[in-house]
Amino acid sequence: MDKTRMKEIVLNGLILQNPILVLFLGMCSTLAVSTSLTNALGMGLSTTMVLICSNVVISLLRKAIPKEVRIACYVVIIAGFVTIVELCLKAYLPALSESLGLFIPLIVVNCIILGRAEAFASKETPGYAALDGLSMGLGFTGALCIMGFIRELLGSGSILGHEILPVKVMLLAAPCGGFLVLGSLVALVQYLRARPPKETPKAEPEAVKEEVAVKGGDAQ
Amino acid sequence: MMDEQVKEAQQTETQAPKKLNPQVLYYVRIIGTLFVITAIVAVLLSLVNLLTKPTIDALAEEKRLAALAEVMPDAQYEAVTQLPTDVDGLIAMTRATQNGSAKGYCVQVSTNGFGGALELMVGVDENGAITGVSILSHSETLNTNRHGWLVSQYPGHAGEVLVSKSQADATHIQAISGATVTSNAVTKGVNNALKAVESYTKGGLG
Repeated sequence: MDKTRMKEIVLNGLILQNPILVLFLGMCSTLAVSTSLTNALGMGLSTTMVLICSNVVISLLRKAIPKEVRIACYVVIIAGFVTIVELCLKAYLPALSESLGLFIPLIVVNCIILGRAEAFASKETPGYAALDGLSMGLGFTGALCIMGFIRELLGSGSILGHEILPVKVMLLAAPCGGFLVLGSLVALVQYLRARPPKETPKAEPEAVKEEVAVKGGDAQ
Repeated sequence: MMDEQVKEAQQTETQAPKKLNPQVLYYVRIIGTLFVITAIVAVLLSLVNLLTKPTIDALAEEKRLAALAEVMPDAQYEAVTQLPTDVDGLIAMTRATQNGSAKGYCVQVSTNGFGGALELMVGVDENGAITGVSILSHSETLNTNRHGWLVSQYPGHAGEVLVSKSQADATHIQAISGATVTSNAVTKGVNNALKAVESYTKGGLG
């Protein structure tokens, strides 16, 4: 596998095309489960697991699946993996499964997974697809955890269930707080992306930007 | 000329059935692929289910026992075998006794919430008053803290419980944030449990 290509995939998933902060995929579960760090981590890792598995399987089957029924096939494969993750969580991590509730089965309709299947895994070899699943999943988990950390710390005054701050901003634990935190993070990431690095020549960041813009358009 | 025409006619004739074949094959391929993928996923899922079911069932039983102790503490439990048939969603009833004297009933009911089935354990004492409500399983989008707040309103109520969007009183409980789907569902389950106890004791079955 090509090293620069691998680096590009990892960077895309983690920052440049972060599913939450740049592509705006999977908003529903993002806003709902990011009220605490534990929930965010559990949701993020479950989604990463499903994303890697479905990406690899879809990439392996990319020549066998007729394009007319590809979406139906992807949905069946994704739903299968989600159910496996759901059953395992229920059996081995019952507390987490209870606090995530309905949002685990809802991973099936999370746009990130179908989006990566359609935009990436169906065109690439299994190795790259797995790497893309991993980096996109970790990008999703990372963004969720940052949101969960901020909302739990300021909204409930605690971290991982341990009370730390005496002051609570109830607004941040409520759904509108999710939008506020998300908006601030998106603004921060956009600022960092738009700011050209000081030491590199000017031509390079522009090229990167163009590439990202084209790819972002593809994924929609 | 004639020969060529005949040949052409023959060709189109032989081609006609052959032309159908790719089309049929095309459909067979589409349906077949989807079918095979679905079948493989189904087999995989049943395997995972087989592996996880004992653990999940054991956890559910543990939870049921914990719920019994929560809604009707310090009692001995004995399953009721003849359940009333006129109550919706009744799953099981348990008679609770303390040192030989009757203490009340724990009723396990299922009701429909926002995201599907919602299972409750409801404790009802000898006078028909609710001693406690516990949620066994749910697919709601609310977190557990708010469920705890909702069910904490039921104990003490006797007779049909109603839902109010503004304030709780002797016959009403207050709905979560004025959103009534889950609150209505839980209340319906609780009322069904009360009905089950009433029907069981009045029917002379107890």
